[in-house]
Amino acid sequence: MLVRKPQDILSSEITPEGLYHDRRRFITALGGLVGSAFLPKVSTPQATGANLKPLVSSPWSTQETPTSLANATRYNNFYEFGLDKEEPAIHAWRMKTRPWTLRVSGECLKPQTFGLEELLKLAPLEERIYRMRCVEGWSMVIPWVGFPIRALLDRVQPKSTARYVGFWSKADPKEMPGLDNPVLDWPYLEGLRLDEARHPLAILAVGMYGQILPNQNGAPIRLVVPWKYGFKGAKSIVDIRLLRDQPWTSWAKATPDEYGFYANVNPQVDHPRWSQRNELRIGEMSRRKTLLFNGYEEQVGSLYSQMDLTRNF
Amino acid sequence: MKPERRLLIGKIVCWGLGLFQLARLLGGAYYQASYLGANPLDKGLNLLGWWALFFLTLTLVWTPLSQWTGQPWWKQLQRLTGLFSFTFAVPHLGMYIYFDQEHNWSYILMDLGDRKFILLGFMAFIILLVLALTSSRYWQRRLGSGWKKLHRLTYGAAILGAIHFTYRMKAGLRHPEVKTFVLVITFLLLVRAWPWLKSHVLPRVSKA
Repeated sequence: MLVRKPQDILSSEITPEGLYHDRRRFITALGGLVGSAFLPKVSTPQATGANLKPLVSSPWSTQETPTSLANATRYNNFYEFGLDKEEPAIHAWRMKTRPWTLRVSGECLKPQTFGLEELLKLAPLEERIYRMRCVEGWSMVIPWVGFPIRALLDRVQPKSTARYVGFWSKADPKEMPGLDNPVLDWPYLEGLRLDEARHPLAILAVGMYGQILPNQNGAPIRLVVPWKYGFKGAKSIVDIRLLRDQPWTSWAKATPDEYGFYANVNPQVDHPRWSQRNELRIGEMSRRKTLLFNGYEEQVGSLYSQMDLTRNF
Repeated sequence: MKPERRLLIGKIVCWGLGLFQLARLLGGAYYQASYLGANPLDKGLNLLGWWALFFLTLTLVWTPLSQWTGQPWWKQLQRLTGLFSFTFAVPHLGMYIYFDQEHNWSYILMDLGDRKFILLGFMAFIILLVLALTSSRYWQRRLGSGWKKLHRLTYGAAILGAIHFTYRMKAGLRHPEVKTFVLVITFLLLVRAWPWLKSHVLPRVSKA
């Protein structure tokens, strides 16, 4: 297992340039969430109570330069708010994220419903700077704030019959104009094998860039599995279930020959319609090579040692 | 209103739309940092491709429209909208070659094999190129009756363009814009082929 020396300074303690320039828009985006609409226009992020501190830095973080906050918050795939990547940033404010409850049930000994405040205190919040590779061929580096899914699973105590975990996103037509598109079978459903969900790299994120999650990035709580394509990261989760059988996740259900359940980043296994050999890192002008398991092979490779990755794509 | 006047209005509208979209794209790219957004390459390619396919589809509308309305002047917009389609297709391909593939021809050759929709797009472009080069009255006279046959390739370009668009989008045919283009082009194709279908295919079907 690769363990790097923790960084001295959390990247969240440095104001990213994008955030600096984008602060007002960011605060406006948070407006519905924390009522900062009533605050004077020139309030600081601290005044919104939006900062998530203290954060524990993590040896799992990459040293790569994070994508600018501006790009990370205006280029999103969140089909519940529209198919265009710029639509989530425009429409996501309609989603109410407080109060929020997350139900955890299924094959476990102690099914529970958690309020958001409980979730924030479930485990020490860590900053995890991860690469994020979209199945469409672009990537970002995002400093997430969250905790390992494992911490949540330990609370509900999965039974021995539990082999998979399903993550259901919110689907409220009143708040999400994109639900009118029958592109996917709503609500959005993603899933992991239980051992994948228990891997220390797999987290539930509640924030990014040291702040609470903007709505378009999946507020208030979302899945982040950095060695898999981005669509595995279910956003705005309301329901987690421990399951005996592999769930029919949304994209796999829509187009089974194109999107598999595993969706591990793999430059050797092409999408039927395009190559996965390389990717465009947002903010850069030329492509770079895509890495097996998105560069996390050393950490997660053993999960798939017995598996044919071409068949189980 | 005289047909000449209607044609003039039609031409002004088409020119206006084409030039406005071109200006918006160029202006946005140069003067408004947020216009092309986080992934300028993708957005630029998508917008140029979208308008190329739009004008190509529009070019197929004029023939049935002139038949239904009994006003042949509509057909005289074909060359204009066809050339606008080519006008958007040139920078679309240019951006792909120059920026997306970093004008590296070995990358491009590999990409043609990797991604079928790239090959389809190339084929559509070659058709548009031939049609644009032979669009002048000079070539029309020179090719005689062959000119009309050659320019029926517009349908081929539209079919290739529609598949190119479908394959490129993650959601494929489920994407509402893709679905609309495919439905409209299929409809226009059926309308055009209807006389032939009626005389050749339908009798056989009814016999069987």
